[in-house]
Amino acid sequence: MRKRSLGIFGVLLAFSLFAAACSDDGATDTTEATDAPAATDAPDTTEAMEDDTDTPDDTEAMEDATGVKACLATSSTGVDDQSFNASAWEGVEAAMASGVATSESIFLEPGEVSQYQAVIDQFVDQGCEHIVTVGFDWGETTATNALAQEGITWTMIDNILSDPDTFAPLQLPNVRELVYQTDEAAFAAGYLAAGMSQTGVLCTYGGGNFPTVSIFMDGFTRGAAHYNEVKGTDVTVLGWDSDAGDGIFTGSFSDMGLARSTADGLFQEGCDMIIPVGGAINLPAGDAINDLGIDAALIGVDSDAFFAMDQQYASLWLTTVEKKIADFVTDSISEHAAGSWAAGSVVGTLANGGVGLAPYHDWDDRVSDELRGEVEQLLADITDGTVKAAFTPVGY
Amino acid sequence: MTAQIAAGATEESLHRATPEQRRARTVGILLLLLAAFVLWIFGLGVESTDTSTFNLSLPGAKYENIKWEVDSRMLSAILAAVIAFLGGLVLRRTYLRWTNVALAISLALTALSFLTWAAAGKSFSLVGMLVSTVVLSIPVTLGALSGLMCERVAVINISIEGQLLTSAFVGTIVGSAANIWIGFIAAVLVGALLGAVLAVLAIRYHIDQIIAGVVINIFALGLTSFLARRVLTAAPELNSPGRFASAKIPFFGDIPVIGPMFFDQNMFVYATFILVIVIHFGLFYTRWGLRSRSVGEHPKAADTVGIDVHKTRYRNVILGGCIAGLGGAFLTLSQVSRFEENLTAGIGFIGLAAMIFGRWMPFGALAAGLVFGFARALQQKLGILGTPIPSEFLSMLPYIVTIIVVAGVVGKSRPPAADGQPYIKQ
Repeated sequence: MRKRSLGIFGVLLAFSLFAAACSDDGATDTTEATDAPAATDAPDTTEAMEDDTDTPDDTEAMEDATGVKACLATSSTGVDDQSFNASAWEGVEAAMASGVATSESIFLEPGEVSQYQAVIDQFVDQGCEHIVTVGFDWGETTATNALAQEGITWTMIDNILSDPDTFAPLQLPNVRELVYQTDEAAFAAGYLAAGMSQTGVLCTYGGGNFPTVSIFMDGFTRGAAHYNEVKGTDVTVLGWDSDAGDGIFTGSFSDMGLARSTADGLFQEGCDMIIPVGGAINLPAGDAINDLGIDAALIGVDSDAFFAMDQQYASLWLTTVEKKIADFVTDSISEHAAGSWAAGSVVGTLANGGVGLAPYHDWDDRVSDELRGEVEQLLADITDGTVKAAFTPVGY
Repeated sequence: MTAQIAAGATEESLHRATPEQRRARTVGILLLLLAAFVLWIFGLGVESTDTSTFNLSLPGAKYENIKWEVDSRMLSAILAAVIAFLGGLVLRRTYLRWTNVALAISLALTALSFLTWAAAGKSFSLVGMLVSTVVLSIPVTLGALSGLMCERVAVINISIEGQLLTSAFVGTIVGSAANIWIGFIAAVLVGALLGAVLAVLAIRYHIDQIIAGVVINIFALGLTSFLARRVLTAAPELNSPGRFASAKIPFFGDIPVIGPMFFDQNMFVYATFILVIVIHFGLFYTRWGLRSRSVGEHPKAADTVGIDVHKTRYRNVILGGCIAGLGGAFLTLSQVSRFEENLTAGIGFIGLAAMIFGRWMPFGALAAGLVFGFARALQQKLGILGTPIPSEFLSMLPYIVTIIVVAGVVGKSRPPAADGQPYIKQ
């Protein structure tokens, strides 16, 4: 009796640990992976990517001797975040399709920050030549490992290197940082939203007060203020205070219920144009609009939300403040393969196409020609520097 | 001789101040300090000309634009006076039974004063905050009810979180594949299934209930995350089950303030209120309730008079799982209409805490849920109003309020006597 109960309990425990380990995509079972590289995780990940894209013929990639083995480490939200992780992996996939990255290129998804180092160790063991780290909170791990692994080329997205001990700015010959002047595009989105709003109240919320999140909120708010200046209107933005550098944050990128009630709270104050910043927590704002039956629009971030996000929300997106991570990742890998790679920070701007505004899709009919023209003019003016807003400094 | 004097002195001091009286003195002094604080910080912290505007109707309501405009400083001064008055009453120590009530009222008034201060010179939707309070309390209350059903028969249910998460996941998939009602039923059944697993481990195999619950939680998080990444990514159409929209009750739904809070919600909100009443009635006024409680308090005695202890436990733990399943369905079929990894984010554990500081009573669980919901709603409105308080600190607010309420107002609570002990028939 006792033995049997222990047995059942043991099986259940083992199964649950197995499931937990699987969901973290190998970051927890690093030790086993080091014994048998490529056997545990690599097939798994290649399988995952075959689902949604056309991967190159293995033979073609094998023949191409110049391809580098690119390895992508996602942030804790994982590669299927319909946001910047997905976009970065698309960049690697494009590199694989064109043969500059080998077909053995992989990604790993650490479930939490404490697993970041384990993922890098695994990449080093598997002989990755080019490691891409995605997300602001990779800064310290990337700096530490780039110092230790001089033979590997690193591309870091959304952060600028700083010394792990002194936090002083740091430049390394083997690291390229991809950062985005997102607020340039968000500024135009804020102007557009201010022009579209019927209530004169715009709003925003974020998952956490990180620079890469708040830059959207800040640009958006300043854009609405610019609209007020030009038109003499009194449009307000709830959820961000540029002077205080603080606003509304759910404090979690997974708590959908909390995001939903945050959005509810903003709509109760009359907001009808919302830009939620933070992957999946953007979507509850769409549920709130549908549920409350109000005439309001969502503004997306990162990848064109009309395509990237669930189709059930597609008609709600006014536009998206795009951050074209994929192209820049592909460039970094191709330049590495071609030998023309250079370290340093690359800033995505309106001018170089790193950031931009997505099409209006279902809202296209509702944007007046006048406003459409003004937004296009504004984008051009920001690009050539005629309009100089207090953009947040990124890069160096 | 000296010993006698000492004993006499102790006796005398005991006679002078019982624990209740000492507590009343402490609370009374605290309330006076609180009144001074309210007057000084919230009353004098605003300009004398400031007004705070509370909107009492939602956009698009039948009776629109009902507003309460109030002189910010004046209101806080009045509230401070009321709190001081209550403090004085408590200090007189004549109505000891009402100490906690006075404390609770004073805390609520302090919250109102705080809002007046934050909204000075601005306006915000007070009714919106109250509606959010109710909505945010639902998963917490359902979690607490689930735990309560189990613990009343002495089975500790740590796995509420896992039950919520799994049923949210299954509800989403089945709801997308079939229809939303079948998804709803599936969610409740999966909650029951996990309840049954806990019951078998705890009752049949006498496994430590805390450990069994933790294992179910790890299992649920791992399994749903794994399947979400593999299945939902490959087939996103399985992640849009639709949503139970809110259903307004005619007439009552149009009453200002009360209407949107209680009569213009979705069916999960109504179901929760009904469940609270039904469980309360069931536990304290029916044969089932008496038997359940006896099994939780003294299973041996219950067995002696012919109550089937194990059967009672199985039934209640499975019912508790059903209630958690309802909570899970609320998260993905009503709050939002899709599943996301770990979307419960610890709400099940908050529910467990709510059960404890609701003193294992259904209405206590509801009150605890509402306190937590209020604190969360307050946090959100303060964010919108843009107070000088950093957002990171505001995120802690719900937990701080919960701790204050638990420690200050609720005091000691007692679990069912046999809680957590397996019953082995001799």
